[in-house]
Amino acid sequence: MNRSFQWIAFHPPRWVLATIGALVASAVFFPGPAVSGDLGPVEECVRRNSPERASVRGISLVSVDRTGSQRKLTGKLYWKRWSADRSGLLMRLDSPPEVRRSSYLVLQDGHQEQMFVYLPNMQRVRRIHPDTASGSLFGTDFSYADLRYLQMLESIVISERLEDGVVGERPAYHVRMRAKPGEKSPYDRVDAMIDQESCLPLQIEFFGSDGSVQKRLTTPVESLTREGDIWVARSVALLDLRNETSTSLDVDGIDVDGDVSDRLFTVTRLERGR
Amino acid sequence: MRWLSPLWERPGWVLAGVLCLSLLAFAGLVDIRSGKLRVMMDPSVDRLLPAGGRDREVYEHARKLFGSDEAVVVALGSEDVFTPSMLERIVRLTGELEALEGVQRVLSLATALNIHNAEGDLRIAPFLDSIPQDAAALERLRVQATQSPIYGGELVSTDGRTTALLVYLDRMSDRDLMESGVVQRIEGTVRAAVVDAEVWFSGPPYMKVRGSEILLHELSFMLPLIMVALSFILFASLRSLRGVLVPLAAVFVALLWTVGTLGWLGQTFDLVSSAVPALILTVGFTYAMHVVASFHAYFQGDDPPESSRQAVRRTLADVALPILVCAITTLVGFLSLALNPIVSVRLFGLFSILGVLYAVLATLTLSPALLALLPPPRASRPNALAAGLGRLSDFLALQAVGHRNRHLAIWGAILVLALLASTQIRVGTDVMTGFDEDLPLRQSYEAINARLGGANELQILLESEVTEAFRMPANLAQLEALQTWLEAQPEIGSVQSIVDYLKLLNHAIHDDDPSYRRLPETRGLVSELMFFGASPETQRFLDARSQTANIRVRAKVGDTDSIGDLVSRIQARLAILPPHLHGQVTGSIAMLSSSVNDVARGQALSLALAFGMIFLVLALTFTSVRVGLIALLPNALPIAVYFGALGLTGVTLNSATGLVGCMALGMAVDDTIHFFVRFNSVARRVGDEKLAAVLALRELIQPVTFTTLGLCVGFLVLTLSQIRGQVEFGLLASFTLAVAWLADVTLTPALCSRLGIVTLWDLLTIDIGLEPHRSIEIFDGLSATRARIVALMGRLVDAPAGQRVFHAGEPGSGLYVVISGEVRTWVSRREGEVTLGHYKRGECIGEVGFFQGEHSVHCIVEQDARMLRISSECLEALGRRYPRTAATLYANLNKILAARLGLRTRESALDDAFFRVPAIFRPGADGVPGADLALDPSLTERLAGLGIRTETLAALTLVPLVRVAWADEQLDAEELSAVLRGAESVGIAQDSPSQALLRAWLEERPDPRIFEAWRDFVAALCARLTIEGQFGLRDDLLGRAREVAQAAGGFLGVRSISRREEAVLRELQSVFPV
Repeated sequence: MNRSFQWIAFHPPRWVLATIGALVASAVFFPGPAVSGDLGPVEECVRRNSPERASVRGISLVSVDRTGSQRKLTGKLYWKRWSADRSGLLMRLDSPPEVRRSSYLVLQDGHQEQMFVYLPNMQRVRRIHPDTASGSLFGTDFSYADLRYLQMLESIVISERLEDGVVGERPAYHVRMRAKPGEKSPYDRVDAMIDQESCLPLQIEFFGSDGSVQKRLTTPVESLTREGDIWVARSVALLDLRNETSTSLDVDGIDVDGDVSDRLFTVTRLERGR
Repeated sequence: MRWLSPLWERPGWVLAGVLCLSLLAFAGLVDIRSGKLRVMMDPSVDRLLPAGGRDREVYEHARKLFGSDEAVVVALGSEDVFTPSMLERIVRLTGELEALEGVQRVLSLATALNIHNAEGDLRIAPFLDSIPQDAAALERLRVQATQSPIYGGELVSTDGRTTALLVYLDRMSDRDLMESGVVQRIEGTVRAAVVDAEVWFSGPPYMKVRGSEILLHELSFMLPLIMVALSFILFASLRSLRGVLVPLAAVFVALLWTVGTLGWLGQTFDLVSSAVPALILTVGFTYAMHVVASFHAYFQGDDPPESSRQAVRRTLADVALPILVCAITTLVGFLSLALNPIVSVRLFGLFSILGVLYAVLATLTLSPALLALLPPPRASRPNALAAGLGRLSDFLALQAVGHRNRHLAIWGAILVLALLASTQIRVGTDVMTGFDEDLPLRQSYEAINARLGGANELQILLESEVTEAFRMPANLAQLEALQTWLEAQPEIGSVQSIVDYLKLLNHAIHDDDPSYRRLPETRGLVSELMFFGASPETQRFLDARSQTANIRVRAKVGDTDSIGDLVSRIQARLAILPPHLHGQVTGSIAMLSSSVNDVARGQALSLALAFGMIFLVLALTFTSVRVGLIALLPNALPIAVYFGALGLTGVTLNSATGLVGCMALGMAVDDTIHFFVRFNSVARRVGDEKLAAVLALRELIQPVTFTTLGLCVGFLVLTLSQIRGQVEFGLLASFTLAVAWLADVTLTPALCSRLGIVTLWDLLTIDIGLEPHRSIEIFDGLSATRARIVALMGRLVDAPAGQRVFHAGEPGSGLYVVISGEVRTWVSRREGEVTLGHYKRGECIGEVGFFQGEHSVHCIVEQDARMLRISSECLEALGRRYPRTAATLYANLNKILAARLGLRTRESALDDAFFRVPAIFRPGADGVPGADLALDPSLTERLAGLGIRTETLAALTLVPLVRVAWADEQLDAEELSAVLRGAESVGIAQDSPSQALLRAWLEERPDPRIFEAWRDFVAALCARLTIEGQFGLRDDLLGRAREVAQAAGGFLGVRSISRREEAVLRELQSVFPV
């Protein structure tokens, strides 16, 4: 399949849910990448900070365009892992009111992915073709490519650990990621500064081919909270320096490894819109 | 002039300063480190738009909401785009272009989303996500792509033979765009990848880069060509290498300083302002030529300077002020453009102002310094061209003066015709078709325009005061209806809006059911689809609040006339939208169309300003509203003819052609000023306005013609441009300046021939003491300025103590006003000399003689005095030019006369007319001439040695006539007759010894010593004459000499005096102290 990130710019099915699922599972980024070499301490740190079975949390995405207009989206994310290669993710929107109860369901079984969308006004579920691509998360500044880097997907990203640094007086691992040869990427490199205590990224910069920073993601230190055994970032901001737009992602109502019904992750339940 | 002295005293320092400034300017022009030009070209449409106003606000608002869509358009043409090989090439090329540095993204069939149903699933993936191989799949893809409401016509032509790749670049400044080479990399990549298909490039970034290269290329050959052309003109005029190189150096330096300064300021040239370098060369040339021509003229004259530095000093004294005044008028012309609402016109005006200032600076620094350093030039004989121009000027001037009314009528008719023709003027611009048809840039534009859905994009903004208005089906229906109407307009190639996107989504999400290829019926469904389909593509059509919708219209026409018609119709359609929806048309091409009003308004404003300011300058310079208006007339006519030419030829009035009026006015008025100033000085010299008009034109025709020729040739070089605006500008500018030249050599002399002129400079520099209107009785009731004008129309005389002013019984042709010093009047009585009065500053003398025709008293200077002589001719001229002033003057004279008549006793005893000219030459008792004048014995001996004795003394009176007759190295029959008539009038009988001697002088050029002896004789004589007597003697002799000079070479009743005869007349005049 010939896929280019530039045109992955449409709507939020598989990757969105997978990524947001990863956010839920890992309390924002790095769901457990397989890193190598001197990345060992980083890998161990991230793995330690991941949920085991399930999570539920409320999210709020506020995007601001270049004219200053704001658009807010709220909803709930349900994630469940049945085995190492079987998981499900459901995203159900609460607002804005006209899209309330719109839902997306992603089911992953090994390398197979199925994605469904439910639009309440249509009163029907549509399956989304696996080739369908998307890049913009509900019209926010998050793109598919960004999230692939955020996941440090082993299959597409080469990571290397650079000399540790400091962000806001907190010691941080410095990890540089580049696309593997043959993988297309809108970025020349991505530099992440990962907090050594919480194992969450405090800052990620996405560099363009001309060496300039195109996007910058930041996690305020004060938004880091501990939920049980893991750290969670309750607020993340992404600034698109090229388009002069920004998106903030806030997380609340976190429930890690609680009870999540399997029935939530079925097409029948999705069709009911509940 | 003292402040200019370093120019000839320290030329080396001046050159060093010029060099330093030039190095600094060069650093502004070229980046020393990279070797790249810092001054850039920007041929984009944006510069042709108004800088502000409501339209600009809407335009900027649209760009802010929906982006500028500035992409390089790469179009590929083949028999069929939908073949596997071609589609694979598109995919590969898209990838290669995306990988280029500076490219942000590429929108092509390889990346554009195809929203459709695939095997029961909703599939939203690029058209070329996978390349179909079988015919059926290819045909399916063709239908999907060509019939896509969003991409059909934009990314693929409806016939499937052309496809486009829109290459969006990283956000970068124009400088970065030029220096990054991204456009060249894109073109190189495409040409390397596509060898068997046609390729075209367009789009604003491509236009900027390639258009910039065209402009640079044109400048690179036009500027040298202009300099070569100017070199020929300079050589033809001055016939010396110095005469060519010095002006060229000055204009080159002026150009370097200008572009260097613009480089430091980060300015860019555009389609209009790119004519500025050529303009600086030509305008600078006219200034520098005046300096060098004047310098050369000194070495051709009878009294050549001793050194180059001395010549430079004299030259600057002559030309510095006229050049500055001319520069002011030229600057006024450009200043009027600097207030134009169109950005490019404004910048043209500002850049030109800078260039003219530098041209003046370089002309008045570099040229004199170079001339001062070089050895003096050798005198050369007048060339045939100059002689031809002299004959032409005589012909033109004599025609103008001799047939003044006919000239005025002809020009009046031309004016009427021009004004009538100007009613046909069309205002409009077409940027792309302004490029030459052979240019790839133009060909690409035409190809893309013809094959895809039009190359000129308009935007229609539909706004509501309510947020999320365009989630309401009713509003979307209005949008859809408007779109349908737009698609029906013949000029429109394609229309896209959020309606297309929603229809496509609705269709796809309903399993490609054709009945759902329509707008969703409820607000909820619309919202869900928008939420579901949120993407950068939807952001091109709808803002984040769903409050403003953007309809993208691609028009197949590009000229402002057609676009203007279309926009008018669209606006009429928008006017019938429901009240809660407000529609506005925008986009650069729409703004360009609406800017025609700004062009017309700007033209009117600029011209009104230019005329107003130049009139002020002229009125101030010539101290008269009437003269200011008259001087404006020869310059207004060419402007009217220029507008008439626009109307007749169909050339549109636009940002480029609209420059011509103000610019030509500012330049053409220079020649008028030169002419009026020269006419003024000649008129004072010869005392005859008609003759002054002829002589002034003869003196000026060469510089005026050559400078006009230089300007015309410089502008004509622009006709070699591949940009139509430049061609039209060059043609119109040279045509208008040629007409201005014609007006200056025909109409101006005709207008001047009845004018008395006083310049501001005269007014400021004349010395008649403080508050002349209060301290001089004859000026009572006049303003100080009027008093000075009267003084300028009269003649100031400086006389030493003991000098007689007039003698009782002398003809009285003038009265005297004492400016300073003291004079005394007296009469002779039996008992001796009786003083009548002493006269000091402000008092009049000779007024009785002036009115009676003969002085009744003697007058002598008691203390060194300065007097103003007011002749009857002066009063007549005043009566014509300043009737109120003349009336006041006459009234004051009456008062003075009335006051004095009662006091004075008239003595009728008149001395013999001892001082009258014939008596002067009475021989002495011993037969030696001048014995009773007590001449210096050496002079007496010299006269005798030259054969002038008692019986031939009368011939001596005719030496000036003989001198003039031989001025042209030959003596023709008419001149011979004139001299002999002169002999008869002074009583020299035929066959007398005097006439024999005279005939000998007429047969063979007399010994120059005879003239020297005559000169010394007259000088000795004048020492014994009154001032009035000196005036009488001078006028009598010069009058006869001028008759001889006019005897040959005349035309149509007006006699002509050659340049050499004029020089001799000046020489004769210089013999007399008054």
